[in-house]
Amino acid sequence: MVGLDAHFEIEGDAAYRQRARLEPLGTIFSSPTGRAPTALELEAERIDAMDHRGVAGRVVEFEGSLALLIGGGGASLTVFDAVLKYGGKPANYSEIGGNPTAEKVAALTRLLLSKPGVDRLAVVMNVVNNTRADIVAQGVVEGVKQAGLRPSDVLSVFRVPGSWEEEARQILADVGVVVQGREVSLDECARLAVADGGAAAKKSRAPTGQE
Amino acid sequence: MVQGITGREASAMVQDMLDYGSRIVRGVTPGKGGQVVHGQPVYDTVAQLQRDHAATISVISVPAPAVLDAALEAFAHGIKLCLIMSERVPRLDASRIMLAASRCGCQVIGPNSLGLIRPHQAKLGTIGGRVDNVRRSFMSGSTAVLSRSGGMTTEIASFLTSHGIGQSIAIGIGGDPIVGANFSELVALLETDRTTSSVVIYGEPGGTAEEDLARMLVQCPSRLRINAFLSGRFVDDLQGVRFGHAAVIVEQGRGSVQVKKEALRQAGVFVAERFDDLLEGLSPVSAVKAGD
Repeated sequence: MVGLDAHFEIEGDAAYRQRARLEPLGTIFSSPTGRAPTALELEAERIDAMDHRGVAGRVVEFEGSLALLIGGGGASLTVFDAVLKYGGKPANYSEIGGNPTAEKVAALTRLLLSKPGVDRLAVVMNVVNNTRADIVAQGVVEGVKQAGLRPSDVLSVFRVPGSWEEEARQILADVGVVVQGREVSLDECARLAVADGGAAAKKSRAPTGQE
Repeated sequence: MVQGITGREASAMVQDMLDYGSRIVRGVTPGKGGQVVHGQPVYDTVAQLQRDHAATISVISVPAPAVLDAALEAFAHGIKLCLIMSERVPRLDASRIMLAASRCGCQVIGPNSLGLIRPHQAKLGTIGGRVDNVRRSFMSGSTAVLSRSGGMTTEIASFLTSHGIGQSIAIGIGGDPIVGANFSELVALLETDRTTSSVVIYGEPGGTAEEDLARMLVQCPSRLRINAFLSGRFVDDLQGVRFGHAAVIVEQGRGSVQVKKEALRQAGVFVAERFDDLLEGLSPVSAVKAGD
């Protein structure tokens, strides 16, 4: 057998074993997207690196008005597919996983909402095992407020069932947001998020409940 | 036993596993021998632990650079089932682990696996989290769940449970390109498991796990009803972008979701277009007649 061609990549996960060789080469790993990272993506990476606990990042920027704070990995893919299927325009892809701090979640929330043209945020995760739903809720509420917005205006759906979900439900009820439970599927949450989105929908919405 | 038992996440996991009823036989963290984690004594090495106990199962939760060493140590001291939770294990190490495992007759699950569970008997890993969530999400029954994503394992189980469809076993096979047990091996094992009559599979872009399963089913049709849901259809249109798990990437068409779905359909697998369609053909009957 004769090798006629090769396609190889240098594995990022093993880079720590070749630090001495790699350092003089500068940055040789392409970003996950294969193109230069956008300012939003760089900032998201910085936020995620704030703290080694959990993941609140893996942001890929798209052009759209619906910001997505989604997780874990498989659920993120599932929700993103479903949002597109229902005609939604995602502003970004992201992944929440592990146990990120409320600060990190808040910072990411504020960042996603800062993208021009974004008018809604959907927070959708699978039934969580070791992510605390209440910490995600705290972070999201804090981040929305830091962005100068009201959770009940901007959150089109919040669905993080599993560990500490009752506490999360209370945190969001306190700011006038009704959370979706595990009986509402990931697909259905995407449909709800898209149905609620858009500036046109905002104008025609009846006033929401108290905060 | 748990290798890396004194780690923050590992020790929380130990409590959840104990609460659920798993029999944990101590743990290992080099240099921390003599400590105690949730009532479980810690040893410096697997050899020392095995002098006092006869563990056959290990859960490995150590930093990625240490996984190869931990796995080889486990194989060398009587471990027959090894769940590797650690993420970002270098591929060369993963290859070495799988080679050593097959030589030692040890079954590896993972790496980058959340765990596995046989409701409601025992679980390995962090799957389901706290015991109250585990009891709510999982239910005993005859459907096996095999998933490349940890979170989706619980999501699918919870979805099935809420429709009265229980699980014989749920396994997070891990999100990495090289894993110890993939769909093919596990479906082949389930073929002769009398408590299982159907399988729900969660797949993603990247790799050939779904295609390999399809090929096996074409050669050896299964008695099991198999439903599959694949996420990441949008990744097909974004060549070369890596999303989340190390294995999720489509390069020059290879690893695309469309190809996987078609291969599975050709092999007789029901591929759900919507997540909610995963219930197709599954009936809420948990009893399995012997020989079915």
